[in-house]
Amino acid sequence: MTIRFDPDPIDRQIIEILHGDGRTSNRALGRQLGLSEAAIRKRLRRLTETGTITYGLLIDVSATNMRVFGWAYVEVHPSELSATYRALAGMDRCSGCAMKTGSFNLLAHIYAKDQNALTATIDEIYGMPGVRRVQFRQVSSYPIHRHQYVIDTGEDEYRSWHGGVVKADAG
Amino acid sequence: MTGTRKIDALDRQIIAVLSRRPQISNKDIAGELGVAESTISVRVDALIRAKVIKPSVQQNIARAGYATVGWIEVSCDHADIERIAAEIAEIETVFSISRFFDNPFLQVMIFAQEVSDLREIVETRIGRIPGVVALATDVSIGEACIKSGIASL
Repeated sequence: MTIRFDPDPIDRQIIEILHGDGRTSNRALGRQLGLSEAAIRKRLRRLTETGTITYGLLIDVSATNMRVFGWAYVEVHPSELSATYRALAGMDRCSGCAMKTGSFNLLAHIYAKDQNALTATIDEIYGMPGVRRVQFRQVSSYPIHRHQYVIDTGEDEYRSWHGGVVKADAG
Repeated sequence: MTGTRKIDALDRQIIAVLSRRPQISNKDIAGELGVAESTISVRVDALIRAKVIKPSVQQNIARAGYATVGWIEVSCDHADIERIAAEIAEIETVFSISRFFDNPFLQVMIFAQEVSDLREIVETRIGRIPGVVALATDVSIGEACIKSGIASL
């Protein structure tokens, strides 16, 4: 179950610095915050062991060949909700997925490189257990995306999703 | 600006290694790819400076007491979209705002500790923004994940 851990103000400063640069050394962190390396190490251990923070690599969309973004609203037979959630969340073109209220009881954010890839992805979703309807709403822009936050379930396959999407010829 | 730096095969290999192991040292990347550490160091710095990649720490919101995720679809006039989005973006617990081509033009993804927090946001914050015509709110029930991945850096 979810363990709650409340970062104190120093933890929050550490998180903020590491959000800006995830490769900041413990020594540099210690220097900025006036703490010993050992104290930083101890705090980082607590933050990672409680699952409060996750180290990740953000990749700019320009460096990938992903061009179509949007939300797939999926209606799934209730008896297959968990199975289809796992299948959707495990797709590497899915950046997030949740079970929700409403007749469309699964919601997934997906990216595709073009219309054909999107069609293939939607077809794949229709092939998942119990799927009755898929409605795709294409996103034209994101006025805000606070990428400093994630929901980490502790399962590796749901942790990052940029495997294999780095573009062949960016620029 | 982003997207101005051409990335080559070595850059892609470096990004692939870093995406699997974000905390790996330049020395270990060099070892894995059979390239000098100084080359890796220059490349990684250039990729970060050009905002192609950002090694980062992200906060797991589920561990911070935010057990609920809500999605609020906002109906409004086309002319009001940008102003309304800017006002909604000021709410600290908003994770993302997605803009669509048709009404409801905006979908707001928001974190909440309690479902009642969402009611509060809907009723007293977003619902009071001039030009908001209707709101449709859904909440997460059961499992949810938001992965680390692509962003506009």
